[in-house]
Amino acid sequence: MARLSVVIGTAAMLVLLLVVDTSGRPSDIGLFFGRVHPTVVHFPIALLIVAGLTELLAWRGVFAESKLAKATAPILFLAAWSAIVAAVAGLYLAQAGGYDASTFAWHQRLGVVIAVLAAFAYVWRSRVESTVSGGYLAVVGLLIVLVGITGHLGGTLTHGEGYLTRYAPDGIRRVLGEPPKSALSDSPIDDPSTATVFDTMVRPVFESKCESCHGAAVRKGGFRLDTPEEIIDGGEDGRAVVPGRSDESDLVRRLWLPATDRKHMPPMHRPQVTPAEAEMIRWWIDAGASFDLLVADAEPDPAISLIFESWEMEALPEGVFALNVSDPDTVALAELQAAGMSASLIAEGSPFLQLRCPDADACLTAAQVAALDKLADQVIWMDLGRTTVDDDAVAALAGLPHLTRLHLEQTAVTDAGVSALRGMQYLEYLNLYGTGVTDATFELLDTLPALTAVYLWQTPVTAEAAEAFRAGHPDVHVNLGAGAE
Amino acid sequence: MTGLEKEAHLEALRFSTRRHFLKSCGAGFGAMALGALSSLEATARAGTSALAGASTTGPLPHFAPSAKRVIFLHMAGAPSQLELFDYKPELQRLHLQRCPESLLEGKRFAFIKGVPKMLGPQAAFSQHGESGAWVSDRMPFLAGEVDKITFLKAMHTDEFNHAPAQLLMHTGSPRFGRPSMGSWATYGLGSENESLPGFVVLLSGGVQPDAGASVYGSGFLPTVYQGVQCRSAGDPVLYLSNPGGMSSDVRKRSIEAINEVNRQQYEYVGDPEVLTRIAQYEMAYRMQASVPELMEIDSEPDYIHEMYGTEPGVTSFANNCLLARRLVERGVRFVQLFHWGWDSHGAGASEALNIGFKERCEETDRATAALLRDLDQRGLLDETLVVWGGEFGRTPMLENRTGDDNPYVGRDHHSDCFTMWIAGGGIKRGYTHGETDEIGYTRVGGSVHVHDLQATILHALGFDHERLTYSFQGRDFRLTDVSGHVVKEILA
Repeated sequence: MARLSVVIGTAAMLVLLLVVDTSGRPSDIGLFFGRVHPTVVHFPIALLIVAGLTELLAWRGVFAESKLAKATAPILFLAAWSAIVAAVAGLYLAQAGGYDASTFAWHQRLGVVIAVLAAFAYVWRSRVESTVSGGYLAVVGLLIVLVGITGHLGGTLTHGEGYLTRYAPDGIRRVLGEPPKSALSDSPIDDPSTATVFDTMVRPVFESKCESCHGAAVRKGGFRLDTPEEIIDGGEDGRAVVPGRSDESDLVRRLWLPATDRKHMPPMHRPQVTPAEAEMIRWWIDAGASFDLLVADAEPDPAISLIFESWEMEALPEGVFALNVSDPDTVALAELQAAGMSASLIAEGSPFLQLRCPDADACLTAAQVAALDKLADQVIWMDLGRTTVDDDAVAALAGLPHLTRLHLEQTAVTDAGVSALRGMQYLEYLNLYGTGVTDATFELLDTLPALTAVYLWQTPVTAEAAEAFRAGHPDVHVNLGAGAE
Repeated sequence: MTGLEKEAHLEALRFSTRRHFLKSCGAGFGAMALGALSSLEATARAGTSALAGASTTGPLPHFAPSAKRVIFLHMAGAPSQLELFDYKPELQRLHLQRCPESLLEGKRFAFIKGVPKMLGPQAAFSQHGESGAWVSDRMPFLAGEVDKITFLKAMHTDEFNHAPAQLLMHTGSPRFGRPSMGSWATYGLGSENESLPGFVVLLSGGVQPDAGASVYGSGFLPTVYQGVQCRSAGDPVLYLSNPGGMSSDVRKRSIEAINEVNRQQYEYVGDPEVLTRIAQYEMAYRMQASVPELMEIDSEPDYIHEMYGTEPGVTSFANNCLLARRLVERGVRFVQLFHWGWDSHGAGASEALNIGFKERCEETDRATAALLRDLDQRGLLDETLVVWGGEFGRTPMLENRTGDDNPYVGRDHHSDCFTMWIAGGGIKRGYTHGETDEIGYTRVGGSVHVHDLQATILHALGFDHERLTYSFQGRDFRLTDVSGHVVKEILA
């Protein structure tokens, strides 16, 4: 009797499969039934695995003598029926549409195969009394493998592509042929001169809140948010994004509809787009819904400026800070400090160093210079002011390519000494007040592209030469001093 | 002692045998000696890093700073912005007309009662520099330096009385007990000079600020971070010099002995304040040599004295400005100046806008301008923040406490808007941020709250004001408490 019911059930399922038009408009009752699919589908999964395990346990080991083997037939009976119900429900759910065609087709095919095979396995098992054949065991094993594959495909349909492995360790991702996680993380803006507003601010919202239903795998309402073309093309209800007109863009309207409204997106009980994110999308559309607009060129309106701030887009690395420099060698650092120079990082997490000489009489000694050689990339700020350094000693500065701020005030340095700085690419601040440099220094200053301030009070430099230099370099602060002598 | 206690005591003594003494106390002494040896090193490290911050293991800013030092010129009593920087011709037109009641609704003033009259600007204004900033003839020297400065014209505070407003300005809270800005800065950055305190306070004008020494106290931070007051006349630092008959060598040895005892005490009780005490004794000893040299402003050339208007040997704002420059030149992190006497209510000559206020301007203008120029020519302004301002502003209304025939004019306290200025490391040159209405009564745009200013100062020093915290009584405290935004518009 039970065997007969399973055979009839399987036959009915196969008939429905041919009769029901999956692309037709769904009826409410059909959808209602269809939506039990995600619930029911877990029964055949669990029952088929349990059936396999019971066979395994009954075959060898401690349960071999028990009557466990008798349990597999009833389990397979339940598995077959639940698989049939799940498959039929899935058929109706598919009418709602919006699923990636190829993923869905495979999910459906394998689901039906599982239902048929489960029914077959039950019929086979219920006819044998004691020892089971190898063929039967192979069918059960195959069922378990199929359940794994089909379940995963179903998960992909519901949660979107890559759901399972999104947070997998990079090692596992590599085995699966997926890029490392860092490549997909919603990365904060590294370089605003190349980062686009869309990629760094808008796309992460679409990815995390929308694409599980409007992405490559699932396309509810025929609308996808995973490529620029699809976003602009819109879905079944027409255009969702009208560049420059957020008030005409259905996407914005739906974000702001009451959460209980049927058309509100994302649907109730799904992760919601926050008001700040909605505001950001609104601004992006008003700004022309551009996919190439750079963050650096964007003009945040008042409503969005706070969001820009919260994205912490200030402190953009510039000049020397944009360089990728390794942390200072700790051995060399210890040597430098032992040699009497004070060194500290300019900020936490930064590889760059600031140096000064606590002992004015022991500055740029041979031992210090030897240690400096190994820290050449890291030294950017140096305070050698009011020390006994001379032209010979400062010649060592030529080996520090990243210097940005240099104090040499009130030292015996002259033009010959500062020539060590020739062509330094990053030097911004140069304090030479109270030194012996002359008008000839301006020729050297000409070779410093980043220079913003130079201090020449109490030097033989003449006002005329300074004026001439200022004329050619209006952005450089050239200070000859205000205190008359 | 009750019978029971006595019996328990005797019983305990019975177990304290000679063997017990040899065993536990012998091991104890050994442990103590070992502990002392290892802790010496740790103490030395803690002591120096607290004060010096010289090594890479010391405190570090959160990001690269644009300023290494701060000079805060606090004009205690709150100078009138309407006579200095916030030019309001419309207020001149309304001079001595009755204030519309609508302006007074829901407002509370410290002294104004009833319906006051409006008071036009009591100084002549003109524009200066390439930036075209308005400065009155009360500050002719500063007018020449406006292109180095960013004016904050829409400052506001929560308090309208001096002591709480000064506390809010300097400690972030109108009540006692919080560390001051200089303490936070030295806590975060340490000092660049092992022989001078990281936070120095210089007072002029005759009295302490209304809120007392709390405005430069360290609150719940270790006391090593509190502001050290230096005096420009007499003993520069009180109780620093050796008493008669005490040679430097004897002093050195006695400090060493005291510190050794303190170290043992620290071993025993583990109170970090003992480390502070040790560090302060050592610092005081080094200061015996460094401070006299520092305070020796006689050694400055004549043109510097001419520029600042300084007079060695007296207590004056000008001397303090020159000292401030000498201090930052030596790597002191935070120099806090207070100049008293700006509370221009008009209730007497010393606090009249036409007399006392004018004198305050004359006392401070030349030296303030000189400080900016001198710092700049030494290349120090580029890495030093100079901040100028009072604790709040003053009303566009006349305060007339004593009656109509009062020969003195004055204004009441006003917390809704006032002008401050900021210059130097990382701040725009020749810029004005914020605006008030046509009579200077309310802010129109570019509001900057006291907490915003504090956040901005900490930002220039390389700190995220939300991350520079100290755990006390179960929660993390910070200078800006729960508010404050960096005023990005003024960053260069």
